[in-house]
Amino acid sequence: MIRAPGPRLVLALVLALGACHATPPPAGLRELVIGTEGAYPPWNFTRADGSLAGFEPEYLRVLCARLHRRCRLVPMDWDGMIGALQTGKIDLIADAVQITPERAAVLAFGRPYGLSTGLTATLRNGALADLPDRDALMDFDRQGPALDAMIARMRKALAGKVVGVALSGAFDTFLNQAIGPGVTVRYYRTMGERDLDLLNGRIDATIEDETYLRPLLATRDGAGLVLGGPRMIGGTMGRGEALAFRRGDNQLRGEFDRAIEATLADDTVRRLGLKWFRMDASPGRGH
Amino acid sequence: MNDELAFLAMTALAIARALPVTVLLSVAGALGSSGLAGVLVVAQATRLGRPIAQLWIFVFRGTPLLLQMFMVYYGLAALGPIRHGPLWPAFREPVFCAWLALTCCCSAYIAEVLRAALAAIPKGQIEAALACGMSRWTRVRRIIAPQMLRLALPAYGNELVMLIKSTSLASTITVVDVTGVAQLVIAHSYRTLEVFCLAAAVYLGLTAGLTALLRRLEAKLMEGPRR
Repeated sequence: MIRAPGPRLVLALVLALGACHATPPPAGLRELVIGTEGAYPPWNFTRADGSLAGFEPEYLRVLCARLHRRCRLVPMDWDGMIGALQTGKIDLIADAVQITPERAAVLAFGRPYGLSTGLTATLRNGALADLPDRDALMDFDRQGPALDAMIARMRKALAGKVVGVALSGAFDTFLNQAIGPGVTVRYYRTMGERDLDLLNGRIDATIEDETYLRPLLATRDGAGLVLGGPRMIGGTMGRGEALAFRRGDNQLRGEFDRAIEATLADDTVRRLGLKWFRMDASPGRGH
Repeated sequence: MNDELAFLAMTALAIARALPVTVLLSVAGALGSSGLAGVLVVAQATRLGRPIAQLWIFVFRGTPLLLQMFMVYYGLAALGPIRHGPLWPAFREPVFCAWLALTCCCSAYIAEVLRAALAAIPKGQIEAALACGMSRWTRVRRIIAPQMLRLALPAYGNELVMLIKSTSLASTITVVDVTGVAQLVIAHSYRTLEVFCLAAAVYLGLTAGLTALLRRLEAKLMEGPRR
Protein backbone atom coordinates (compact mmCIF):
# COMPACT_ATOMS: atom_id res chain seq x y z
CA MET A 1 0.00 0.00 0.00
CA ILE A 2 2.70 2.43 0.96
CA ARG A 3 5.44 3.16 -1.44
CA ALA A 4 7.78 5.92 -2.32
CA PRO A 5 6.86 8.16 -5.24
CA GLY A 6 8.01 6.69 -8.52
CA PRO A 7 11.50 7.58 -9.69
CA ARG A 8 10.08 9.47 -12.63
CA LEU A 9 8.02 11.71 -10.35
CA VAL A 10 10.99 12.38 -8.12
CA LEU A 11 13.13 13.17 -11.15
CA ALA A 12 10.49 15.56 -12.44
CA LEU A 13 10.28 17.27 -9.06
CA VAL A 14 14.04 17.52 -8.80
CA LEU A 15 14.22 19.01 -12.30
CA ALA A 16 11.40 21.43 -11.51
CA LEU A 17 13.17 22.43 -8.33
CA GLY A 18 16.44 22.87 -10.15
CA ALA A 19 14.75 25.17 -12.61
CA CYS A 20 13.50 27.35 -9.77
CA HIS A 21 16.98 27.93 -8.48
CA ALA A 22 18.94 28.62 -11.65
CA THR A 23 21.97 29.78 -9.65
CA PRO A 24 21.95 28.01 -6.32
CA PRO A 25 24.00 29.68 -3.62
CA PRO A 26 26.76 27.57 -2.04
CA ALA A 27 25.24 24.87 0.13
CA GLY A 28 27.07 26.06 3.21
CA LEU A 29 25.52 29.51 3.08
CA ARG A 30 21.97 28.73 2.14
CA GLU A 31 19.43 29.13 4.89
CA LEU A 32 17.85 25.85 5.95
CA VAL A 33 14.05 25.83 6.01
CA ILE A 34 12.63 23.55 8.67
CA GLY A 35 8.98 22.51 8.71
CA THR A 36 7.18 22.13 12.01
CA GLU A 37 3.57 22.06 13.10
CA GLY A 38 3.64 24.69 15.80
CA ALA A 39 0.64 22.95 17.34
CA TYR A 40 2.09 19.97 19.22
CA PRO A 41 3.03 21.21 22.65
CA PRO A 42 5.43 20.91 24.28
CA TRP A 43 7.48 19.68 21.31
CA ASN A 44 6.56 22.73 19.26
CA PHE A 45 3.82 25.29 19.63
CA THR A 46 2.91 28.80 18.63
CA ARG A 47 2.93 31.54 21.26
CA ALA A 48 0.23 34.19 21.37
CA ASP A 49 2.58 36.62 19.60
CA GLY A 50 3.01 34.16 16.72
CA SER A 51 6.51 33.01 17.61
CA LEU A 52 7.38 29.32 17.80
CA ALA A 53 8.46 27.80 21.08
CA GLY A 54 8.95 24.39 22.63
CA PHE A 55 11.48 21.59 22.74
CA GLU A 56 12.19 21.50 19.02
CA PRO A 57 12.56 25.23 18.30
CA GLU A 58 15.04 25.43 21.17
CA TYR A 59 16.82 22.21 20.24
CA LEU A 60 17.08 23.20 16.57
CA ARG A 61 18.71 26.48 17.58
CA VAL A 62 21.35 24.43 19.39
CA LEU A 63 21.84 22.10 16.41
CA CYS A 64 22.01 24.89 13.84
CA ALA A 65 24.52 26.77 15.96
CA ARG A 66 26.67 23.63 16.06
CA LEU A 67 26.43 23.29 12.29
CA HIS A 68 27.05 27.02 11.70
CA ARG A 69 23.96 27.14 9.51
CA ARG A 70 21.23 29.72 9.37
CA CYS A 71 17.90 28.01 10.00
CA ARG A 72 14.32 29.17 9.71
CA LEU A 73 11.38 27.30 11.24
CA VAL A 74 8.15 27.53 9.28
CA PRO A 75 4.86 26.36 10.78
CA MET A 76 2.62 24.26 8.53
CA ASP A 77 -0.06 21.58 8.85
CA TRP A 78 1.15 18.02 9.19
CA ASP A 79 -1.10 17.15 6.20
CA GLY A 80 1.16 18.93 3.79
CA MET A 81 4.49 18.65 5.52
CA ILE A 82 5.82 15.53 3.80
CA GLY A 83 4.65 16.89 0.46
CA ALA A 84 6.47 20.14 1.19
CA LEU A 85 9.62 18.20 2.02
CA GLN A 86 9.44 16.12 -1.14
CA THR A 87 8.85 19.13 -3.37
CA GLY A 88 11.74 20.99 -1.75
CA LYS A 89 9.74 23.73 -0.05
CA ILE A 90 11.42 22.72 3.19
CA ASP A 91 14.73 20.96 3.85
CA LEU A 92 13.80 18.90 6.88
CA ILE A 93 10.96 18.22 9.29
CA ALA A 94 11.22 18.74 13.04
CA ASP A 95 7.78 17.82 14.37
CA ALA A 96 8.23 15.01 16.89
CA VAL A 97 7.97 12.62 13.96
CA GLN A 98 7.78 9.03 15.21
CA ILE A 99 9.97 6.66 13.24
CA THR A 100 7.34 4.31 11.85
CA PRO A 101 7.94 1.75 9.07
CA GLU A 102 5.23 3.47 7.02
CA ARG A 103 7.05 6.79 7.14
CA ALA A 104 10.49 5.27 6.76
CA ALA A 105 9.36 4.14 3.31
CA VAL A 106 9.07 7.75 2.10
CA LEU A 107 11.39 9.67 4.42
CA ALA A 108 14.98 9.42 5.60
CA PHE A 109 15.10 9.60 9.38
CA GLY A 110 18.01 11.03 11.28
CA ARG A 111 19.33 9.77 14.57
CA PRO A 112 16.48 9.74 17.15
CA TYR A 113 16.59 12.50 19.77
CA GLY A 114 13.49 11.43 21.64
CA LEU A 115 11.99 8.19 22.88
CA SER A 116 8.64 8.07 24.57
CA THR A 117 5.65 5.74 24.78
CA GLY A 118 2.00 6.12 23.91
CA LEU A 119 -0.57 6.26 26.70
CA THR A 120 -4.34 6.36 26.89
CA ALA A 121 -6.05 9.43 28.30
CA THR A 122 -9.66 9.34 29.44
CA LEU A 123 -12.02 11.50 31.46
CA ARG A 124 -11.49 11.01 35.18
CA ASN A 125 -15.11 9.91 35.65
CA GLY A 126 -15.45 8.30 32.20
CA ALA A 127 -16.31 4.73 31.30
CA LEU A 128 -12.69 3.91 30.49
CA ALA A 129 -11.00 5.38 33.54
CA ASP A 130 -9.91 1.88 34.62
CA LEU A 131 -8.09 0.33 31.66
CA PRO A 132 -6.22 -2.96 32.16
CA ASP A 133 -2.40 -3.29 32.16
CA ARG A 134 -1.78 0.12 33.65
CA ASP A 135 1.84 1.16 32.99
CA ALA A 136 2.82 -2.25 31.60
CA LEU A 137 5.10 -2.03 28.57
CA MET A 138 3.35 -3.01 25.33
CA ASP A 139 6.24 -3.44 22.93
CA PHE A 140 5.12 -4.23 19.39
CA ASP A 141 8.66 -5.14 18.41
CA ARG A 142 8.50 -8.10 20.81
CA GLN A 143 5.80 -10.30 19.31
CA GLY A 144 4.60 -13.17 21.45
CA PRO A 145 1.78 -14.53 23.60
CA ALA A 146 2.26 -11.82 26.23
CA LEU A 147 1.71 -9.07 23.66
CA ASP A 148 -1.26 -10.90 22.14
CA ALA A 149 -2.89 -11.26 25.56
CA MET A 150 -2.37 -7.56 26.24
CA ILE A 151 -3.91 -6.61 22.89
CA ALA A 152 -6.87 -8.92 23.61
CA ARG A 153 -7.49 -7.22 26.97
CA MET A 154 -7.27 -3.80 25.34
CA ARG A 155 -9.67 -4.90 22.59
CA LYS A 156 -12.19 -6.04 25.17
CA ALA A 157 -11.91 -2.83 27.15
CA LEU A 158 -12.31 -0.60 24.09
CA ALA A 159 -15.19 -2.56 22.50
CA GLY A 160 -18.06 -0.24 21.63
CA LYS A 161 -16.09 2.85 22.66
CA VAL A 162 -15.10 5.91 20.63
CA VAL A 163 -11.40 6.68 20.50
CA GLY A 164 -10.09 9.90 18.96
CA VAL A 165 -6.62 10.11 17.47
CA ALA A 166 -4.62 12.61 15.49
CA LEU A 167 -4.97 12.06 11.75
CA SER A 168 -1.87 10.13 10.77
CA GLY A 169 -0.56 10.11 14.24
CA ALA A 170 1.22 6.86 14.89
CA PHE A 171 -1.73 5.44 16.78
CA ASP A 172 -4.58 5.13 14.29
CA THR A 173 -2.89 2.22 12.51
CA PHE A 174 -2.70 0.41 15.83
CA LEU A 175 -6.42 0.97 16.48
CA ASN A 176 -7.44 -0.14 13.00
CA GLN A 177 -5.16 -3.16 12.74
CA ALA A 178 -4.82 -4.52 16.27
CA ILE A 179 -8.04 -3.41 17.95
CA GLY A 180 -10.22 -3.74 14.88
CA PRO A 181 -13.81 -2.91 14.03
CA GLY A 182 -15.12 -3.09 17.61
CA VAL A 183 -13.89 0.41 18.31
CA THR A 184 -15.04 3.60 16.58
CA VAL A 185 -12.08 5.75 15.56
CA ARG A 186 -12.44 9.50 15.08
CA TYR A 187 -9.69 11.37 13.30
CA TYR A 188 -8.65 14.91 14.16
CA ARG A 189 -6.52 17.28 12.21
CA THR A 190 -5.23 19.14 15.25
CA MET A 191 -4.51 18.07 18.79
CA GLY A 192 -6.55 20.94 20.18
CA GLU A 193 -9.76 19.81 18.49
CA ARG A 194 -9.20 16.26 19.71
CA ASP A 195 -8.61 17.45 23.28
CA LEU A 196 -11.80 19.53 23.17
CA ASP A 197 -13.85 16.50 22.16
CA LEU A 198 -12.21 14.37 24.84
CA LEU A 199 -13.06 16.97 27.49
CA ASN A 200 -16.65 17.44 26.37
CA GLY A 201 -17.22 13.69 26.24
CA ARG A 202 -17.68 13.15 22.49
CA ILE A 203 -14.87 10.61 22.57
CA ASP A 204 -14.20 8.15 25.37
CA ALA A 205 -10.44 8.09 25.10
CA THR A 206 -7.43 9.13 23.11
CA ILE A 207 -4.08 7.46 22.59
CA GLU A 208 -1.25 9.93 22.47
CA ASP A 209 2.40 10.32 23.29
CA GLU A 210 3.25 10.63 26.96
CA THR A 211 5.32 13.74 26.33
CA TYR A 212 2.17 15.46 25.05
CA LEU A 213 -0.23 14.11 27.68
CA ARG A 214 1.78 14.77 30.84
CA PRO A 215 1.98 18.56 30.36
CA LEU A 216 -1.69 18.56 29.21
CA LEU A 217 -2.76 16.97 32.48
CA ALA A 218 -0.96 19.71 34.35
CA THR A 219 -3.19 22.39 32.79
CA ARG A 220 -6.50 23.55 34.27
CA ASP A 221 -8.60 21.87 31.57
CA GLY A 222 -6.51 18.71 31.65
CA ALA A 223 -7.16 18.24 35.36
CA GLY A 224 -10.32 16.31 34.44
CA LEU A 225 -8.27 13.67 32.61
CA VAL A 226 -6.43 10.59 33.79
CA LEU A 227 -3.77 8.46 32.09
CA GLY A 228 -4.13 4.72 31.93
CA GLY A 229 -3.54 1.55 29.99
CA PRO A 230 -0.22 0.10 28.87
CA ARG A 231 2.72 2.13 27.61
CA MET A 232 2.81 1.46 23.90
CA ILE A 233 5.87 1.48 21.65
CA GLY A 234 7.32 -0.17 18.57
CA GLY A 235 5.73 -1.63 15.46
CA THR A 236 3.49 0.77 13.57
CA MET A 237 3.70 3.17 16.51
CA GLY A 238 7.34 3.73 15.92
CA ARG A 239 10.40 3.83 18.06
CA GLY A 240 11.54 7.29 18.93
CA GLU A 241 11.28 10.76 17.45
CA ALA A 242 13.69 11.96 14.80
CA LEU A 243 14.24 14.64 12.20
CA ALA A 244 12.97 13.68 8.76
CA PHE A 245 14.91 14.40 5.58
CA ARG A 246 14.34 13.83 1.89
CA ARG A 247 15.49 10.39 0.87
CA GLY A 248 18.90 10.70 -0.68
CA ASP A 249 19.74 13.92 1.15
CA ASN A 250 22.50 12.05 2.95
CA GLN A 251 24.95 14.91 3.39
CA LEU A 252 22.53 17.08 5.35
CA ARG A 253 21.34 14.09 7.35
CA GLY A 254 24.92 13.11 8.19
CA GLU A 255 25.72 16.63 9.40
CA PHE A 256 22.68 16.69 11.67
CA ASP A 257 23.33 13.15 12.93
CA ARG A 258 26.80 14.13 14.13
CA ALA A 259 25.39 17.23 15.86
CA ILE A 260 22.60 15.20 17.49
CA GLU A 261 25.16 12.65 18.67
CA ALA A 262 27.14 15.42 20.34
CA THR A 263 24.08 16.92 22.05
CA LEU A 264 23.08 13.49 23.37
CA ALA A 265 26.58 13.02 24.77
CA ASP A 266 26.80 16.44 26.45
CA ASP A 267 23.38 16.06 28.13
CA THR A 268 21.68 18.85 26.16
CA VAL A 269 18.80 16.60 25.05
CA ARG A 270 18.15 15.32 28.56
CA ARG A 271 18.22 18.86 29.98
CA LEU A 272 15.79 20.17 27.34
CA GLY A 273 13.52 17.16 27.95
CA LEU A 274 13.33 17.90 31.65
CA LYS A 275 12.62 21.54 30.87
CA TRP A 276 9.82 20.99 28.35
CA PHE A 277 8.34 17.54 29.14
CA ARG A 278 9.10 17.36 32.87
CA MET A 279 10.66 14.02 32.03
CA ASP A 280 13.73 12.61 30.33
CA ALA A 281 12.65 11.61 26.84
CA SER A 282 16.13 11.11 25.41
CA PRO A 283 16.74 7.78 23.66
CA GLY A 284 18.91 5.12 25.20
CA ARG A 285 17.64 5.72 28.72
CA GLY A 286 14.74 4.12 30.51
CA HIS A 287 12.08 2.15 28.65
CA MET B 1 2.34 0.63 -12.98
CA ASN B 2 0.64 -2.38 -11.44
CA ASP B 3 1.37 -0.91 -8.05
CA GLU B 4 -0.24 2.34 -9.12
CA LEU B 5 -3.40 0.59 -10.33
CA ALA B 6 -3.64 -1.43 -7.12
CA PHE B 7 -3.34 1.76 -5.08
CA LEU B 8 -5.98 3.52 -7.16
CA ALA B 9 -8.34 0.54 -6.87
CA MET B 10 -7.87 0.38 -3.11
CA THR B 11 -8.44 4.11 -2.76
CA ALA B 12 -11.53 3.97 -4.97
CA LEU B 13 -12.92 1.17 -2.82
CA ALA B 14 -12.30 3.13 0.39
CA ILE B 15 -13.98 6.21 -1.11
CA ALA B 16 -16.91 4.13 -2.36
CA ARG B 17 -17.46 2.90 1.18
CA ALA B 18 -17.79 6.49 2.37
CA LEU B 19 -20.16 7.44 -0.45
CA PRO B 20 -23.32 6.65 1.58
CA VAL B 21 -22.28 9.26 4.17
CA THR B 22 -21.93 11.98 1.53
CA VAL B 23 -25.18 10.96 -0.17
CA LEU B 24 -27.04 10.82 3.15
CA LEU B 25 -25.76 14.26 4.16
CA SER B 26 -26.71 15.66 0.74
CA VAL B 27 -30.22 14.20 0.71
CA ALA B 28 -30.96 14.99 4.36
CA GLY B 29 -29.47 18.47 3.90
CA ALA B 30 -31.57 19.08 0.77
CA LEU B 31 -34.77 17.96 2.50
CA GLY B 32 -34.03 19.87 5.69
CA SER B 33 -33.00 23.11 4.04
CA SER B 34 -35.84 23.03 1.48
CA GLY B 35 -38.40 22.47 4.21
CA LEU B 36 -36.91 25.20 6.36
CA ALA B 37 -36.76 27.53 3.36
CA GLY B 38 -40.48 26.93 2.79
CA VAL B 39 -41.15 27.90 6.38
CA LEU B 40 -39.01 31.02 5.98
CA VAL B 41 -40.92 32.09 2.84
CA VAL B 42 -44.26 31.62 4.56
CA ALA B 43 -42.97 33.39 7.67
CA GLN B 44 -41.95 36.38 5.56
CA ALA B 45 -45.60 36.83 4.59
CA THR B 46 -46.58 37.27 8.24
CA ARG B 47 -46.00 40.39 10.29
CA LEU B 48 -44.38 38.61 13.24
CA GLY B 49 -42.34 36.10 11.25
CA ARG B 50 -40.92 38.60 8.77
CA PRO B 51 -38.15 40.12 10.94
CA ILE B 52 -37.20 36.70 12.32
CA ALA B 53 -36.93 35.15 8.85
CA GLN B 54 -34.96 38.13 7.57
CA LEU B 55 -32.55 37.96 10.50
CA TRP B 56 -32.12 34.21 9.92
CA ILE B 57 -31.29 34.77 6.25
CA PHE B 58 -29.00 37.69 7.09
CA VAL B 59 -27.00 35.66 9.61
CA PHE B 60 -26.72 32.33 7.79
CA ARG B 61 -26.14 33.79 4.35
CA GLY B 62 -23.61 36.25 5.67
CA THR B 63 -21.30 33.88 7.56
CA PRO B 64 -19.07 31.10 6.20
CA LEU B 65 -20.46 27.57 6.40
CA LEU B 66 -17.13 26.32 7.77
CA LEU B 67 -17.51 28.68 10.72
CA GLN B 68 -21.10 27.56 11.24
CA MET B 69 -19.96 23.92 11.34
CA PHE B 70 -17.31 24.70 13.97
CA MET B 71 -19.84 26.79 15.89
CA VAL B 72 -22.41 23.98 15.98
CA TYR B 73 -19.86 21.22 16.66
CA TYR B 74 -17.37 22.78 19.06
CA GLY B 75 -19.17 25.96 20.11
CA LEU B 76 -22.55 24.59 21.15
CA ALA B 77 -20.89 21.60 22.85
CA ALA B 78 -19.33 24.03 25.30
CA LEU B 79 -22.74 25.34 26.41
CA GLY B 80 -24.12 23.70 29.54
CA PRO B 81 -27.74 23.31 28.38
CA ILE B 82 -26.55 21.51 25.25
CA ARG B 83 -23.74 19.52 26.85
CA HIS B 84 -25.84 18.33 29.79
CA GLY B 85 -29.30 18.68 28.27
CA PRO B 86 -31.60 16.22 26.52
CA LEU B 87 -30.28 17.24 23.09
CA TRP B 88 -26.74 16.00 23.76
CA PRO B 89 -27.20 12.53 22.16
CA ALA B 90 -27.87 14.35 18.88
CA PHE B 91 -25.20 17.05 19.27
CA ARG B 92 -22.69 14.42 20.30
CA GLU B 93 -22.79 13.01 16.77
CA PRO B 94 -20.66 14.85 14.20
CA VAL B 95 -23.01 13.85 11.36
CA PHE B 96 -25.95 15.53 13.07
CA CYS B 97 -23.93 18.71 13.66
CA ALA B 98 -22.86 18.77 10.02
CA TRP B 99 -26.46 18.25 8.89
CA LEU B 100 -27.73 21.03 11.16
CA ALA B 101 -25.15 23.53 9.92
CA LEU B 102 -25.82 22.57 6.27
CA THR B 103 -29.58 22.89 6.76
CA CYS B 104 -29.38 26.29 8.43
CA CYS B 105 -26.96 27.71 5.87
CA CYS B 106 -28.62 26.38 2.72
CA SER B 107 -32.12 27.23 3.94
CA ALA B 108 -31.15 30.91 3.87
CA TYR B 109 -30.05 30.70 0.23
CA ILE B 110 -33.02 28.60 -0.89
CA ALA B 111 -35.46 30.93 0.89
CA GLU B 112 -34.10 33.80 -1.18
CA VAL B 113 -34.51 31.76 -4.37
CA LEU B 114 -38.11 30.98 -3.48
CA ARG B 115 -38.83 34.59 -2.51
CA ALA B 116 -37.53 35.80 -5.86
CA ALA B 117 -39.71 33.25 -7.67
CA LEU B 118 -42.72 34.34 -5.69
CA ALA B 119 -42.08 37.98 -6.51
CA ALA B 120 -41.79 37.16 -10.21
CA ILE B 121 -45.39 35.95 -10.47
CA PRO B 122 -47.36 38.82 -12.07
CA LYS B 123 -49.70 40.51 -9.62
CA GLY B 124 -52.41 40.55 -12.25
CA GLN B 125 -52.70 36.78 -12.11
CA ILE B 126 -53.36 36.84 -8.37
CA GLU B 127 -55.94 39.57 -8.88
CA ALA B 128 -57.57 37.59 -11.65
CA ALA B 129 -57.68 34.52 -9.43
CA LEU B 130 -59.27 36.59 -6.69
CA ALA B 131 -61.78 37.97 -9.18
CA CYS B 132 -62.69 34.39 -10.15
CA GLY B 133 -63.45 33.75 -6.51
CA MET B 134 -60.63 31.24 -5.88
CA SER B 135 -59.99 30.42 -2.27
CA ARG B 136 -56.50 31.00 -0.80
CA TRP B 137 -55.60 27.30 -1.03
CA THR B 138 -56.81 26.98 -4.64
CA ARG B 139 -54.80 30.08 -5.52
CA VAL B 140 -51.65 28.56 -4.11
CA ARG B 141 -52.29 25.19 -5.72
CA ARG B 142 -53.31 26.30 -9.19
CA ILE B 143 -51.66 29.64 -9.76
CA ILE B 144 -48.74 30.29 -7.39
CA ALA B 145 -47.09 26.91 -6.67
CA PRO B 146 -46.78 25.61 -10.27
CA GLN B 147 -45.27 28.86 -11.49
CA MET B 148 -42.99 29.20 -8.49
CA LEU B 149 -41.65 25.71 -9.11
CA ARG B 150 -40.91 26.51 -12.75
CA LEU B 151 -39.34 29.88 -12.00
CA ALA B 152 -37.28 28.69 -9.04
CA LEU B 153 -36.02 25.42 -10.45
CA PRO B 154 -32.81 26.56 -12.21
CA ALA B 155 -31.60 28.60 -9.23
CA TYR B 156 -32.81 25.96 -6.79
CA GLY B 157 -30.83 23.33 -8.68
CA ASN B 158 -27.80 25.55 -8.36
CA GLU B 159 -28.23 25.58 -4.60
CA LEU B 160 -28.53 21.79 -4.49
CA VAL B 161 -25.29 21.42 -6.44
CA MET B 162 -23.61 23.80 -4.01
CA LEU B 163 -25.04 21.79 -1.13
CA ILE B 164 -23.54 18.53 -2.40
CA LYS B 165 -20.13 20.16 -2.61
CA SER B 166 -20.55 21.81 0.78
CA THR B 167 -20.99 18.43 2.47
CA SER B 168 -17.23 18.03 2.09
CA LEU B 169 -16.80 20.57 4.90
CA ALA B 170 -18.23 17.96 7.27
CA SER B 171 -14.85 16.25 7.12
CA THR B 172 -13.46 19.12 9.21
CA ILE B 173 -15.60 18.01 12.14
CA THR B 174 -14.52 14.34 12.00
CA VAL B 175 -17.26 13.06 9.67
CA VAL B 176 -15.66 10.38 7.52
CA ASP B 177 -17.29 11.26 4.21
CA VAL B 178 -15.71 11.10 0.74
CA THR B 179 -13.34 13.99 1.51
CA GLY B 180 -12.60 12.58 4.96
CA VAL B 181 -11.59 9.23 3.52
CA ALA B 182 -9.44 10.94 0.90
CA GLN B 183 -7.57 12.78 3.64
CA LEU B 184 -7.19 9.57 5.61
CA VAL B 185 -5.71 7.76 2.62
CA ILE B 186 -3.34 10.67 1.97
CA ALA B 187 -2.26 10.70 5.61
CA HIS B 188 -0.99 7.17 5.24
CA SER B 189 0.19 7.07 1.65
CA TYR B 190 1.51 10.64 1.30
CA ARG B 191 0.10 10.70 -2.24
CA THR B 192 -2.12 13.68 -2.77
CA LEU B 193 -2.92 14.30 -6.41
CA GLU B 194 -4.39 10.96 -7.45
CA VAL B 195 -6.43 10.63 -4.23
CA PHE B 196 -7.95 14.10 -4.47
CA CYS B 197 -8.66 13.48 -8.17
CA LEU B 198 -10.60 10.33 -7.31
CA ALA B 199 -12.57 12.18 -4.62
CA ALA B 200 -13.28 15.03 -7.03
CA ALA B 201 -14.52 12.52 -9.61
CA VAL B 202 -17.04 11.21 -7.07
CA TYR B 203 -18.42 14.71 -6.46
CA LEU B 204 -18.48 15.31 -10.20
CA GLY B 205 -20.49 12.13 -10.66
CA LEU B 206 -22.96 13.14 -7.96
CA THR B 207 -23.50 16.65 -9.30
CA ALA B 208 -23.69 15.37 -12.89
CA GLY B 209 -26.43 12.97 -11.85
CA LEU B 210 -28.33 15.72 -10.07
CA THR B 211 -27.92 18.13 -12.96
CA ALA B 212 -29.28 15.56 -15.43
CA LEU B 213 -32.24 14.93 -13.14
CA LEU B 214 -32.97 18.64 -12.86
CA ARG B 215 -32.73 19.08 -16.65
CA ARG B 216 -35.36 16.43 -17.20
CA LEU B 217 -37.59 17.92 -14.54
CA GLU B 218 -37.22 21.35 -16.09
CA ALA B 219 -38.07 20.03 -19.53
CA LYS B 220 -41.12 18.31 -18.11
CA LEU B 221 -42.32 21.46 -16.37
CA MET B 222 -41.86 23.48 -19.54
CA GLU B 223 -44.26 21.18 -21.38
CA GLY B 224 -47.06 22.57 -19.26
CA PRO B 225 -47.80 25.94 -20.84
CA ARG B 226 -47.37 24.64 -24.41
CA ARG B 227 -50.12 22.08 -24.10
